[in-house]
Amino acid sequence: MSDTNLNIDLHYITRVEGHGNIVVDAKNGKVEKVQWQVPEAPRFFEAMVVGQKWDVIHHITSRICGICSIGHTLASLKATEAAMGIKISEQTHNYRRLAIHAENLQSHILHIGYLVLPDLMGVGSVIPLASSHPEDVKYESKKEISLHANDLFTTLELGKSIGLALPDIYIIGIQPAKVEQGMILSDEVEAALGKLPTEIKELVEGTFPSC
Amino acid sequence: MTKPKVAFFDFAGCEGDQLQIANLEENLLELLGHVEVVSFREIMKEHSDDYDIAFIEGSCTRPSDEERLREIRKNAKVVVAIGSCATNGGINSLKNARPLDQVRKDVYGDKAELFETYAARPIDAVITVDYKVHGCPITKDEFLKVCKALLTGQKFSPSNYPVCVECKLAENVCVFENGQTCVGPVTRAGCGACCVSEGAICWGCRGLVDNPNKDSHKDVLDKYGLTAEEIINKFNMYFCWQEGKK
Repeated sequence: MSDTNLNIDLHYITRVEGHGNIVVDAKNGKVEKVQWQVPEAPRFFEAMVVGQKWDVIHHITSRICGICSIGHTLASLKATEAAMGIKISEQTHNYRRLAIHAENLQSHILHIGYLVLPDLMGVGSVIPLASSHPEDVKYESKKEISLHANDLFTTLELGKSIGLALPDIYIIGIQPAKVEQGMILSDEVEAALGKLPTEIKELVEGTFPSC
Repeated sequence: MTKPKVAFFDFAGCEGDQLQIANLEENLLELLGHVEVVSFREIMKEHSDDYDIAFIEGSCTRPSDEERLREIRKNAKVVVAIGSCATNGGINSLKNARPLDQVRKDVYGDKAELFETYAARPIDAVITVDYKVHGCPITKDEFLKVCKALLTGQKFSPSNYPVCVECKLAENVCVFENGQTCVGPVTRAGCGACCVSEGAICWGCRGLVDNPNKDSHKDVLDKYGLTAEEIINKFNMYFCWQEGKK
């Protein structure tokens, strides 16, 4: 080992969200440099929200990450509500839990099916698996769960997860006409949940604490 | 016929558009039957600089990114900008409205100078772009339409009328009637007014339509007793670059 020389300069770690480089230099068995570099272009979200009206902040912060946009939306709503002294209802709390579960579910399915599976199969990506192992890639239950997660996700995203907090805000008189939106949403969430396979439904419901 | 070689690249953005593509599921597998993907960092290990079509997500926000963009342009026969950050500067361009030195200090304090940045801009502000897939995020349908046009050598023209047209077709109640504000009257359509249909408002993610009828939008605001100033923050969301806040 004493004569080991290493010059690892790996640009762009793959199959992850975001940009990272790894640099490892070793000379005569002695490590001289180990670096984890993040060459990501900074986006300055903290500065973007300065001076913005309260009702657009969650939309801006939701764009921090395409994979966990609901998480960023909910964190922002929580901050806005804390600042304005708004208490959310149990229903809103539960909808938000549901939204975050849908996001996690979809993210994990993508992670297992597209990002981890290639390693287990000893290939560089899911792409060659599409022809060599079509059944694994198209694995019915994966597909089915995935489609249902998308269903649930679509029902909850696009401002709905954002709108979830709003019935409470509307109640304090800003836009009272929209209170009924919560009721429409309730039906649609029920419908989306109804389509989930039983095991997944139990999983989601089992992790649903009352607030 | 040999399959065209395709590569994906990302600049300043959230990678949500590439995620939309990864989430195409069986449509993705079908698409893979017609192209050879040689680089897609988010889902594959391999990389090659030999490609015909480059899909670019994200805005250019640093002078140092320009070189990488020019390299991509040199390698590719066709460049496709995907998502708002790439087609109109997107949310990134919000920071352009404030002095950039202040913006850097707000976030990184005394380390500000370590973080290079300039006004966030769409890809076609730096290199020639052949096709644009608008939206934050892009819609899967429109992405597939652009791919079909590309593969059959046809032109793709994004919709050039405001979101209100599609919103009416979707039979939505105008959000102004609900006491909210919206930039649908001046935003490029093509999304089917999905946000309004889902109970939200149009945030303008697809950018201003060509020759937006601002007078008409002002009439709408007047009708509901609003001023442009009152919705100015919604205008700033995605229109900063197009409105000249460079």
